[in-house]
Amino acid sequence: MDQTDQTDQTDQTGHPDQTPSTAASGASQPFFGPQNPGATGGKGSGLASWIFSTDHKRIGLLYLGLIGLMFTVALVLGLILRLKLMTPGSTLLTPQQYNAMFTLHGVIMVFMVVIPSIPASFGNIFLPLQIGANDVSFPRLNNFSWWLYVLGMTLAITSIFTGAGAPDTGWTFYVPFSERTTTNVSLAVIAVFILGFSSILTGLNFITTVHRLRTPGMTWKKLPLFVWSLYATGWIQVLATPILGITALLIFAERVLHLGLFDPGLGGDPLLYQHLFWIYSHPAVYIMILPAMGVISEIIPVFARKPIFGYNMIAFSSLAIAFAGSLVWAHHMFTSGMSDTAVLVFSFLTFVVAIPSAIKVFNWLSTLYKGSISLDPPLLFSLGFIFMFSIGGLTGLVLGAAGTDIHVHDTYFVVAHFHYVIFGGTGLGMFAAMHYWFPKVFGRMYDHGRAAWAFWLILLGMNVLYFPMFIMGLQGMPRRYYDYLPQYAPLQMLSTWGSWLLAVGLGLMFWNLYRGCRFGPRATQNPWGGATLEWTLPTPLPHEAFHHDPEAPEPYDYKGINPDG
Amino acid sequence: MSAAVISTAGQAVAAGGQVVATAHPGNLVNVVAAVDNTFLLIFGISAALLVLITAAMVYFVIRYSRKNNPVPADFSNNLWAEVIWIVLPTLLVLGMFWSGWHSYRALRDAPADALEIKVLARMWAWDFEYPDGRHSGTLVVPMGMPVKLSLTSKDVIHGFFAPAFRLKIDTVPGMTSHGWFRADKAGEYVIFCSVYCGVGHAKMLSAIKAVSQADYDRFLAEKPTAGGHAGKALLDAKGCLGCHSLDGTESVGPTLKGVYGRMGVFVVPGAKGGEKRLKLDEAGLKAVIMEQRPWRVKGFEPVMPSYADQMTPEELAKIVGFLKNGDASGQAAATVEAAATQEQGRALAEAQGCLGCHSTDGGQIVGPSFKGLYGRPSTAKDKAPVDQAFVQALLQDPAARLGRASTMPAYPDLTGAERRKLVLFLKSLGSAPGIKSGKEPGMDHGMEHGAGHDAAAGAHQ
Repeated sequence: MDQTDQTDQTDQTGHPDQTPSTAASGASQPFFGPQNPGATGGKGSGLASWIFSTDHKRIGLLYLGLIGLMFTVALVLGLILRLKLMTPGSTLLTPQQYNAMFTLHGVIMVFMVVIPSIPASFGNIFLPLQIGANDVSFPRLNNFSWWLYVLGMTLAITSIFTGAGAPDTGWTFYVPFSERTTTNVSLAVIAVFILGFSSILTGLNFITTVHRLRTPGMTWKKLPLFVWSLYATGWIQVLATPILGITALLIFAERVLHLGLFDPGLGGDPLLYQHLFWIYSHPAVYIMILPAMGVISEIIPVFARKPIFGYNMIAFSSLAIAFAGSLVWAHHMFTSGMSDTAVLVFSFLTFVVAIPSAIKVFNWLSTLYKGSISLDPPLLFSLGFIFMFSIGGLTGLVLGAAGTDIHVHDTYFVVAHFHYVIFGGTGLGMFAAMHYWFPKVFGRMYDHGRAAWAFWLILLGMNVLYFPMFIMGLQGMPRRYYDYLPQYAPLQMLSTWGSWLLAVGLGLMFWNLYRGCRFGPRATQNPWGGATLEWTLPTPLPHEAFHHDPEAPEPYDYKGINPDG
Repeated sequence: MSAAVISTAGQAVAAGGQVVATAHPGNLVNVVAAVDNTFLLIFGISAALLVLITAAMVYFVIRYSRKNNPVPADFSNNLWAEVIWIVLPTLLVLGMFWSGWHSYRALRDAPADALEIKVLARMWAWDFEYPDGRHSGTLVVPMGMPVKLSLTSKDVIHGFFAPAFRLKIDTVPGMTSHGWFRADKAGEYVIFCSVYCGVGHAKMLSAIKAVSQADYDRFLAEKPTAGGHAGKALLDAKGCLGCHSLDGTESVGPTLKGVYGRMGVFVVPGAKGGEKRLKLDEAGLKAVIMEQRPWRVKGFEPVMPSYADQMTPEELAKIVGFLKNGDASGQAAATVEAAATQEQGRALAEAQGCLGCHSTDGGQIVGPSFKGLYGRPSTAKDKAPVDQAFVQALLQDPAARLGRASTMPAYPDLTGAERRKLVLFLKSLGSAPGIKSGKEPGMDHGMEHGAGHDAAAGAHQ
């Protein structure tokens, strides 16, 4: 039911008006409109033309719509959780409702929002275009990935309302608790299994596309950095996600068949589960953050009118993060009781991963140095990304150091760190991408002033919401607590106020984008002056992008290219 | 922002309520200070970097705005700059890594003379067992004395978290983990459960009470269940009271006040009308407590675990007896347990296979003979005498107690009562209080030597 409603909505917003684009190539029809405008309601305008579409642009928008819907659901859950935690002793929710809600908030946000976020939506739309291809390598597989996403999403939502209650394990499904709880965990892990396949197939599609469909002359050194980051992400998706799939199935097998892999009562080992889970779920953090880094690497040079600083290092650091990031999973387990030798090794490797991330931040700063900077909304969100990601990354060092991790592990400090990196990082990266590519996709422009207001509200809200959690975590406040000791009351209250600020900022941003989509002034072909191939295409994007192979440009050479908006 | 980060660290240290850098005789590491130094090092460097990054960003955006700098420079790399920011972060993070590892070692390496206490976590309560077999729900320790914890869990993974001591370690079922701390100042320090464990997670709190040695001795001398009903003590020990009150208030689960004989209404998926009524008499309560059930009490969540593998029939009988009669009766049952005898100990030693390696007649098989062993210095690295605490610790983890590799397996599944029986048995084989220190008895020595000791011990007796 959900997917039908949502595609309808996407369909509507996909039709700001039915008149053809004013771009120079008037012959091209926007990809979201019917293919033959003469025949009304003809090919390419109905629901079926969307949900069975093999067009990467339409699939990207389908993802964007569903991700937006799921984001809203999980956001509301988060706001309710914060409301419950505003005062000690609050009985707004029962303990069981609270546990189910933070589980759902995590499961939905991680598996249905953040992991697919940038790759499935903007990656789908712009990866082929940036390399001069008309679609991904396997367009039908691409549509199938979306359907798997819909199926996984439906099952996950179903698991809330069926069985003996919504899952209450936390998004990590730690055994033996997840084996013992009577709630509907079995269905939820099957949903995660299916969502995993959606991710694997998208990654596979992207890797193949980058290898096979680059326009002649587009060497690896001319690849836009967004493509580089998606390519590195694709490898993690293909290599790491199968482990999540099998782990989810094993939980199912434990619950149904009492297989005895993880349950010590049957000769299993609970730590085995944690290893399997984090072998996927730590690299998954890089699935989440790398594409956002790619977006930032695209936006900053465009708005500084200066080539990206250290192209080779940024591209290489994406691969280095993808590789080294696969070797650090057990830093989630320093307190688990595993050996001290393992702690030594994983702590060391964790610090190694910090280096390429630091390199990226310094390179972005150097790109700004001596540029000619225009502080438009996409750049604002990108700079917000750098600030928030820096806080998230630097506090990650506390978690990587063995001695300090012991104290802050499983406390609010981790919650704050994770939200700074994923919401402040990936989230702002996603919003930056939305503001950057919005005119190209929808053919209209949003209000810049309102976007800036929304940005500052979001940035302030996030910090008021999450920064107190660092302090509470250092003071020992454990995570996933239904209630807390009175000493934490003032900061918990402050944090809840922050959640309201954030909600207002997000509301303003989405409303602004919606207004822009419906009533904004028409966008020009290249409003920001980008040098990558998508900016050579008509606005909004046509059904078929390239009629013949385009020439590979220097992606960060802005000489002779000026913003035309 | 940077000031905020640093003051955050400062607050955390202050809020921990720990005396930092207490002058201590000997070379004991102050763990809290070591961990906090790592915190300060990382927060200091991080704050400096964050200020640098943010200031550069703001300055560039203003100084090189399109108005102030209409023509951008054209460069896209600089070898030296790039070398610097590969090398500099590498050095910084290596320093942080080393400091973190150093403080981690301090957290892990328990001093050899530490008092050993066993921790058993369960949904949703803590149980602490002292060397003499006494149990308590809060952890009472003598201040100034290092305390080594051996932790495990009865059901799911929990986490022992004492923020004041920067100590956190998961308790994993089927596995024993370790941690240690030393409370230098008298007081109460909170214990949280740090690993999410279900509906009572946030209520799984306890405290470390650091008291003087005299108070600690007094505490150990107390009779654990003095004056209380055995069934009531069991309700507490099994964690029942975490969810079920005795005073009529409803909590996670229904209250136990007057529950006996009541008609319980349960929601049963698939049953007619979806409900089932069950009289909560002896049979009914047994079904509710011991069976794995897909059904739940009407009005409550289905979160109660089955106690089939956690409660013996005798324990169940005591609990039901308490629920039926209140504090009035049941004392008789409590005394049964106390009558542990050395004969039971011998039977247990046979059943557990102890006697396969340890003789009772002074002859050496694999390990030292039990004859006259009690009270003698052991073969452990620290040559601690074989006493109750030693046997407890040895059975829990031989290698750790002996301080060296050993072929002796661990017996972590023995209950406190069973261990006491074993000790009684050991005592019955004679002890040797008069052994001079410095002599090393035991299995690392030749047969004659060991036998000689035994003979000497026997003669002494």
